[in-house]
Amino acid sequence: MKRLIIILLIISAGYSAMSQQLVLSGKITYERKENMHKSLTDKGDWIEKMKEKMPKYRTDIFQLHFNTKQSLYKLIEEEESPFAQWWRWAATNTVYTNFETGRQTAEKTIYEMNYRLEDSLPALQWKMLGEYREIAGYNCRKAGAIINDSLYIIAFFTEQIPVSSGPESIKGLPGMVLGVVIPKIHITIFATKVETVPPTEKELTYTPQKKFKQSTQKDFISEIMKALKEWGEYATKIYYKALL
Amino acid sequence: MHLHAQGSLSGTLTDTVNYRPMIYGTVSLIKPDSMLYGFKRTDAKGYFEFLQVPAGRYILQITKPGFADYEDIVNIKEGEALSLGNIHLFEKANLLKEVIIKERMNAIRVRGDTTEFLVDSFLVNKNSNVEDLLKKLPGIQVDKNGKITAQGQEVKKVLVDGEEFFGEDPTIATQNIRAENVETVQVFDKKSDQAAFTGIDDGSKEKTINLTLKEEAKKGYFGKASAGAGTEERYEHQAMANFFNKKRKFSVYGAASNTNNTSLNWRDADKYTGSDDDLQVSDEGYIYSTYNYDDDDGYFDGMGIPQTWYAGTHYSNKYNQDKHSINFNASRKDITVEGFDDNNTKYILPDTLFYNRQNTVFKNNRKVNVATGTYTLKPDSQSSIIIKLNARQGESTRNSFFQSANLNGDSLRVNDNQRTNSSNGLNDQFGSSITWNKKFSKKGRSLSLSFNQNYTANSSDGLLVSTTRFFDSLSNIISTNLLDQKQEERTITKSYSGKSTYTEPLWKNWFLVTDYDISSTINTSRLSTLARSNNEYSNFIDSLSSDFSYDILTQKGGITFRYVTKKLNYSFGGRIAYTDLKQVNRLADTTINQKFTNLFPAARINYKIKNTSNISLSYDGGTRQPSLQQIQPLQDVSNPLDIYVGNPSLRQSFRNSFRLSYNSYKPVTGSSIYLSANFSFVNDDFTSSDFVDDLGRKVHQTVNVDGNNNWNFYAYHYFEIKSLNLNIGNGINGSSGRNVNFINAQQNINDYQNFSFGPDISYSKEELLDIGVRTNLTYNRNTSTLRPDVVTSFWIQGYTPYLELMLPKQLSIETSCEFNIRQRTAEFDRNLNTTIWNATVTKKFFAKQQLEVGLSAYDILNQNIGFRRNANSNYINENTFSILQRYLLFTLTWNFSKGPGSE
Repeated sequence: MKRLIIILLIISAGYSAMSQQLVLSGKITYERKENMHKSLTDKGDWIEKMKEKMPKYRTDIFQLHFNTKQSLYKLIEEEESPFAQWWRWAATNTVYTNFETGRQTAEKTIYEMNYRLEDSLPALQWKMLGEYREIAGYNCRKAGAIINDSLYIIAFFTEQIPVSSGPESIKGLPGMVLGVVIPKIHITIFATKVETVPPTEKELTYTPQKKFKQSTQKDFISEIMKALKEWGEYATKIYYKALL
Repeated sequence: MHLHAQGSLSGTLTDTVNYRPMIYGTVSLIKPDSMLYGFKRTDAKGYFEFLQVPAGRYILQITKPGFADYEDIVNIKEGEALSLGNIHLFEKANLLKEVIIKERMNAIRVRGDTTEFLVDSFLVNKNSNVEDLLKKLPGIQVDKNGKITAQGQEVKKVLVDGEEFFGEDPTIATQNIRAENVETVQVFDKKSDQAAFTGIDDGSKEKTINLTLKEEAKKGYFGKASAGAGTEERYEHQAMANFFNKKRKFSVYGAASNTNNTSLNWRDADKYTGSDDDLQVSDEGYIYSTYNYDDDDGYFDGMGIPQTWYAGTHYSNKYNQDKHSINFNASRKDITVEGFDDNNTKYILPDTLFYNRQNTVFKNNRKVNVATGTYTLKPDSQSSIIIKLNARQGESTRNSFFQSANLNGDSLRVNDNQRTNSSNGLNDQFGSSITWNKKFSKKGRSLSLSFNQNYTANSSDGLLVSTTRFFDSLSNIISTNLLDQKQEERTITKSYSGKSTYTEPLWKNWFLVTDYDISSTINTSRLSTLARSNNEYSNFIDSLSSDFSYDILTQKGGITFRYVTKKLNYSFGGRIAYTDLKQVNRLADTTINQKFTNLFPAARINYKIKNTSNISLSYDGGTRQPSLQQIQPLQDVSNPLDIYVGNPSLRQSFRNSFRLSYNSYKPVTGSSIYLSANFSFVNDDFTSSDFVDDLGRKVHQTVNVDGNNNWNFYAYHYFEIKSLNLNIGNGINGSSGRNVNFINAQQNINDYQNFSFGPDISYSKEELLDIGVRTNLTYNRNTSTLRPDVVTSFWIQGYTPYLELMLPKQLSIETSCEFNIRQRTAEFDRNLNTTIWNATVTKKFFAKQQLEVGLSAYDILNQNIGFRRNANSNYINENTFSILQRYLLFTLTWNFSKGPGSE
């Protein structure tokens, strides 16, 4: 027997006072989580035992200092678990962005190779996905893009922070990126805190690390891939991470 | 449309209340396919403009926090400057929505705050995904972007069987799982109790969907069956299968062979059995597990020709979000090994050399049943309780015929011996342990408590028939010693031990580790030797019999300080052990009571130079206690040619060891370096004092000596020449040291040096070819002060070229040829050079390569021989033994699988 029930639902799109204020400078704390269990695709008792011993996530804390002219994204606290070092490929990047010159500098480390990559701002083809969610108290829109024709990323950005920056090199949206999901390599980067205190000069100053090899993102990718050509599946995993 | 057709667009943003211009409004131009074309921000006058926009239709989206989004369609035409004038934004208003839900009662259950839908009651297409399914469920809406609304609230999380499928984006689960694999869809508010198993608690309630999968979607099996038959009556058969369902795993395996494959290989053991040994994690993040080859389990060491069969089963499962897990293994093995074992030994004595030649023919059998079980309880993420049980029951039969002769320096026979040994033994073992590990909320504080129990009972009955003859210098027999004895041995050992370890963070980066162990061992051992008289073994021989009981109580305590930072790590501390030993000799009715204290200082420093290089230095010191056999005032006369006498005045020895290691790992560049060096010296070391009479009989005793030391080093450098696809490894290792012993009361200082090195070079082309050569050159040198004129030195060289070729049509060829060049010595002038050539051809059939046909040729030139050469202190020994020689083996293997992960 069928019954019909009518339910009246009231959805209120309430908003707080804060949500009306524009944030033009400040500090965002991001939590980068990489699911290490998911990337262990082999089967067997050994793998199962290893999963019991290791934490599920490699969790790193990053901070992005920004104003309307520049932003600096860097690692604050690295995951402590000794296992995490096996997932360290391009997991500790520093990214400096200058909106006035339209250029960015990224420092990436893959094992013993340290690179400083200088490029113009990445030109990603963003697709608006028409969804909303709240991250760290800010209303965000969802957008998707494909990096290098191979890595699909989902980003959540807020127009309440009208600065086109974000974690890693994920930028170019009409607002600040507060959340990133990269399904293929099991990585999420979500803002946990947004502080609206303007950063000091020092906090925005990028000091290049010594002995880093000067290159561009394109040359870096081709150099790494050439070196890892015999690595099979691992090379693919490293390649995706190097793209970020 | 014209390729370069471009237009422009401009406008000014104002609010609807005061009509004031709005700065920092975001204006986006979006193409009809939702791709963002570009965006602008309004300036202080609220103005924006887009220049040189390709002509076409766009969605103009204007957003500003606190205001409703503005969307309009704009049509930009070639050469036209479109001006939109003033655009007003409205403040957000509340919305009211009405939803009608159609519900079907029998398909929906409400339990507490969880609503559950039975999926099969809702018709979905065979190939549809979970998103399509959700659209059909009452109260759930899915919009075109995959956003899910359930009971009026947005769903933030989609779990699969209670676990996060991936990340925070629900669409990843809903778009990737097929509807037909889902049994129920549960909708609930995620609260703190659910947060317990996801590990994330944000304090707020979130509308959550949990998908429970059908059993069939988690079920499957995999396995293989293989049969092999060859020349020389060789065979090798194996069958194994693993059936799994969610976390439950059940496997069976069995094999029979008379080749050197006498147990599951590492890979198969990992897939078809469940070891209960724990993985260890080093400070550097290396993961390792140790596996002890246990003779009691029928391990084959490579000496002789084996004939084996074994079978086993494994079951494991996890329950209640992995809080409980069980693991059970049982196996039986039956191994028979037969062959010969020949030893030639040169003894260097003060004024003479003498030689010993031994030939043994043996046939041994071992049958063993093993069962192990583990139960693990993890009540929370901070603690665990592990209970382990293991039992073993074994039976051994050993038969050997042994001949030996001692020759003097002129190769004249001094004595000889012939004996037949046969024995039958039974052994039973049962052990159990319980361990409780607890981590406290204070970071770095942890406690571990464990209790172990072990029981072993061994009994063996053996028969020994032996004839020993002694000769004078003219090779006349002086005397003959005949033995015909039965030996009955019964040993029972019971041990109990408790261990506790506590770690406490002291201050920043400093930790204190304390541990305390107590163990008690109760051992009774009875050996009865009976001589034969009138066809009966009835004469009890006191001198060859014993009846002991020992009770050993040991307590150990330790304190270690550890300093831990990312770059630098060091620790220092030590342990002290107190042992109380009581031995009762029930035959002689005597009691020995000994109490002694041992010290074990240790220190270690580790420095991480870079993320890929590391250096460490460590020191370990420790006292060593003489064994009971070494100190008891008795003679062991079981071998009339080699009599052992106890030394009650033997003191503890103290060893100091230093170790330095360095490693550097550059995987991208393709190079690595590993260096290590060890040095140790021992005060009051135990050494042998031998008295050899002119009939070649030896009486030996353990005494203390100073001056023994050893150093060794190992270095390995690996690098790749990527442009040539070459991999080159160079290893070198060496050891050198001094052993002091006594022969006929004269001190004898033996110095030894061993070096081995050799490059390995390989050329590889992925999925096509791997070709290379491995080399190993070893040099040995021994000298002694008693006979400075006799220097033993020799080279052993090995070269192994190999080739692996992967041909089209799933055909592959592997071959290797090992050249062994063993330098003859003055004493051992037999030609022992060998060339061992092996080859295998394999072809796989079918799309998933389920069928594999292989033909292997082993030792094609029929030259294989078991060989070991051992030079040490005052002897040099050459051991040759039987091993498998040339045969051909044809194998057929069928691999099968079904279910998840089988693709």
